[in-house]
Amino acid sequence: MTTLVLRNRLLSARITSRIVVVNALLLLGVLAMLATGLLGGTFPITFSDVLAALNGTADQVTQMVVLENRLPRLLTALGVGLAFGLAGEMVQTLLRNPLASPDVIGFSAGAGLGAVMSVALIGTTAFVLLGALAGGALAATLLLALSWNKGLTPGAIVLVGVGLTVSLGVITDLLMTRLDANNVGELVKWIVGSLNARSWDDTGLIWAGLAAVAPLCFWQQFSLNRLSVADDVAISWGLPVVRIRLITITLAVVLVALCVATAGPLPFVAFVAGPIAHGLNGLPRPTLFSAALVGALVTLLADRAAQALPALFVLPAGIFTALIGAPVLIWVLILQSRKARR
Amino acid sequence: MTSQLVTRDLEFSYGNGPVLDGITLDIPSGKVTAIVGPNACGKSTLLRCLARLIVPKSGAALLNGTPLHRQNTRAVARAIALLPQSAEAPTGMRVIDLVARGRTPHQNPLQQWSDRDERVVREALTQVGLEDEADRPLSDLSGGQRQRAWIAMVLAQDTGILLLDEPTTFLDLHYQIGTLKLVRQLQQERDLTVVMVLHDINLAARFADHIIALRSGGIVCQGTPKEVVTKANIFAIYDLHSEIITGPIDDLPHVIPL
Repeated sequence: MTTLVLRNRLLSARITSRIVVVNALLLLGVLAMLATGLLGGTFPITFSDVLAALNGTADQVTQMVVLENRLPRLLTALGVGLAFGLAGEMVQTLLRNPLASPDVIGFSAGAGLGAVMSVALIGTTAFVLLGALAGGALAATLLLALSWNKGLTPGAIVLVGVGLTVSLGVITDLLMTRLDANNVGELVKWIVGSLNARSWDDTGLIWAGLAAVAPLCFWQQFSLNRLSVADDVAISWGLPVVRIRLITITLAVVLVALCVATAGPLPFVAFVAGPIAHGLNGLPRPTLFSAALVGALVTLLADRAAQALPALFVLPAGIFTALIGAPVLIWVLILQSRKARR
Repeated sequence: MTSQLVTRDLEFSYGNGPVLDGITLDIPSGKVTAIVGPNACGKSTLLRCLARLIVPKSGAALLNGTPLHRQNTRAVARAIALLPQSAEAPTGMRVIDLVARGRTPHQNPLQQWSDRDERVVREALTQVGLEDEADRPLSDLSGGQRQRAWIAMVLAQDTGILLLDEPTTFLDLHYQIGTLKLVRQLQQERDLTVVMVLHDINLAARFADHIIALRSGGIVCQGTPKEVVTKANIFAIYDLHSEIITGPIDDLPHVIPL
């Protein structure tokens, strides 16, 4: 494996040629999904139509399809996928366990409950992000508190987290039964996850969030990378281990809350991004950029599948991310049990 | 100038009863020191205090006169390196990835692979004889090679003091000897101060210049192998009757348990 060295006055890094190729291909895949999503579909549009729509010179229907329908939906899916990929990779690396992704250990369920509760209590969708943030933070706090006396071992965290996901889901379901049927239809989005009918508000929310949080994640990658070896070693290198943990979990909670507020939990996107990314790039965790791109690709594919069904069978994209995620979950479980047996 | 690592009235407990009960000692600079003693005597805890992993209840471990836990953590990390007991690397990690991480206290998120990083890592790999295995995954290596990769990692940290917590655990006998010979060779080539916890007093007698024997959180005796390894001391440390013979190769004392 060839290793490339990037070195100038500002930056220096060691990169394998394989990850450069893998990231380039993933990026290409994402761009292809965006292009085909914009041009294909039931109402075919040419590239020049898109340019005309962006200039405001296309006909009204094209204008609406491109600007009001496809573009915000695709960009929202892209942003949500990137954010889920980042969050999953960070938490899985931190807890040194591919099962410990934010959607498995309760962050998504907490954010979903918070979102639903904010709508149920206040009656408008204006405070969904705050609700999701509060719910996600509550889930993370509960998780840490409940697994604290077990020494915060990764195994204990995963078990407690799975329990938390189920319990929070039950509370959300209970809450739903108390609401009238009209609201429930609207609220399903925050329980399963959907990219249907996204507006520029959603796009703005997720991308503003990403712009604020993603740089911090990439900065944190340095510490996370070192912490992945062993706690004692990281401390002996002078790293503030507890602070790194808290910052990482906070960043993951914020990312998940942004995603849930925008498109709902989209189960398993955060979970599958890391294992697939590492299967492709062959590097140890964390590789945030690869994982983010895989997250985006999975989300765009799931949304494409959701749109490909006949209109009668409209299913939310979250169903399809779960379809992609379940086999990967089984694969990870098999790998882990094999490792445990050795 | 070599750094001076000492402890003064070091006390530590995990709640019920002291684990370390007033340890005062000077680690000899430029020498190999072995900490020995029965199970649960506090030897690993002492090493963890020296490595700044835990903060003592009272007293202190001091580096050049200042308590470790009051110094800048990165500055300490450039002076003291630690190899923990039976460390395990994440899956998929290659030798070069592990050794390069040893440079952490000299790096930051923007500068992760300077000229100096590369030179020091190459030197460390060559010194432990793994220069040709740099791109192989750790999981492909033998137990002895893997331990050498971990040692290269602490060498890459480029410190004057090296702390090793039972570096021979879980290794076959020939790898145990190979590892300790390597430690001895590195100590001489780099003029390091090495402190290692060892289970086997005979290996300690053979590979250390200075032995510190603990029991129940206190120092029983310390000194050169010949001073420490005596019938009376072995009984005081382990409650074990023994005969001491002189090794046929190196003239060092050797315990024959009775």
